[in-house]
Amino acid sequence: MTLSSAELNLTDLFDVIVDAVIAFDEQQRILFFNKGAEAIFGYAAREVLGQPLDILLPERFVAIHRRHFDEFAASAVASRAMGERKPIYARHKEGREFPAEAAIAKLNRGDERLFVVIMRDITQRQQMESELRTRAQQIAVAAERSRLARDLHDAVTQTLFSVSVIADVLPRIWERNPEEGRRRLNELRQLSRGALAEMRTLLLELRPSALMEANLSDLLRQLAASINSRSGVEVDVQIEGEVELSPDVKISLYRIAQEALNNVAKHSNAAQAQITLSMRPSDGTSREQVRLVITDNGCGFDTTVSKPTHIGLDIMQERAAAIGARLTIRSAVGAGTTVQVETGG
Amino acid sequence: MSGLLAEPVRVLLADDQEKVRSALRLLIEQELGFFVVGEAGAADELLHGILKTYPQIVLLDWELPGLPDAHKLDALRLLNPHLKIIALSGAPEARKSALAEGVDGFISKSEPPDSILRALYFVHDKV
Repeated sequence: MTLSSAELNLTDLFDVIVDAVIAFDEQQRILFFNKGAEAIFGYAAREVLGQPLDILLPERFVAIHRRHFDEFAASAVASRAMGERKPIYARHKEGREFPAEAAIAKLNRGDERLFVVIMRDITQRQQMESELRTRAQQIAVAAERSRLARDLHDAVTQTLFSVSVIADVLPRIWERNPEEGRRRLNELRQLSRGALAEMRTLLLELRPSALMEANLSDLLRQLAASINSRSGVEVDVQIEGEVELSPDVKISLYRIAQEALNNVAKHSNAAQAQITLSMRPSDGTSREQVRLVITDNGCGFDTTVSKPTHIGLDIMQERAAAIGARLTIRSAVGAGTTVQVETGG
Repeated sequence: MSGLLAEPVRVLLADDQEKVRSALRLLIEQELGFFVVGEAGAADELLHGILKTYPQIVLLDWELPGLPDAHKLDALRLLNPHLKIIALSGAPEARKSALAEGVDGFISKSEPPDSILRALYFVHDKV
């Protein structure tokens, strides 16, 4: 069964639509205003029929709306969504503005052209979206906090626990064996320095702006002490030359060193690692050059096999690429690992 | 059972951090009634340690890598049903679940080291 347009009463149909349906002519005089439009704009249809469309727009948008309308009227396009890139705003009878989503179509009626706008108030949707965004941010912050709490537990708590146990027994040890006492006192000194380095490294994660202020050689020394304290791997730091680096380069190099050393601590079973940072200032012929090398004497891995746990390696590659540096990883089973990043040159 | 002439009680230390094991060893070795028979840094080493060194007490890091999230003690008790287990944790809130799993003592790493010795002596009398 089909319906002819005469059988289908369009006015009735438009009245069951909750969206606003507004028709107007080329002079932008309102010709039709459905129940949805009455609910959204607060006007009764009889108040607006024959009135200019401008009464439904915030004043500051009247001119720009007129220009968009003229463009659309002159174009060959039959219909178009309005404000595709950002929400448009409409004006309620009481004067308040609300965000809306709308589409416009043109219809030919004999010589005349008729325009129909279908519009929806998206105030609630925007509120919900904004609440969702806030919620997502809160979840991200909570996840970051619990990661930091875990790191604090894995690192600083363990070290300070050891400190407190040793400090507790030290007086008795000293009485019996002063030499052993001195050795343990030295251990206490190293443990507490390590806890300090671990705590500072974690504080950098809470306040990333501090990364920009510090210089790279200090950051690397602190990182080395922190890794040593957490994992027992001895990390030697060699710095050659000193160049003022841009924050981007400095932070990327620090993050690469951090990732590489975390891998050493977690996976390599190494006893020793070395960080070498060589920096050469730019001269007349070449740009500044920076080379960062992290090596360890651990178990190494097969670089030709890709594993899910190697995701950190991809992240290092991305960080290097972002600052225009080359990153190479050399490793083989039983032969340790070398990560090298080079910029400039 | 305790007393100067009695055999010292055999204790196995299980914690993933070497410095923690070293500090615990130092603490326990000051006590005449106890003897540290071995150390384990992960769950598999712990199981081997129980088989090889016949500990009577395990001082167990409740977050030891390789232990399952629940029924942490099943494998240990299977190897030695008489084993006494004192859980040691960085998270004081783990006390309830540890006791529910049947540990013989629970110490948070934020408590003073004295409490470790107190727990050891408490369990010692039951060995």
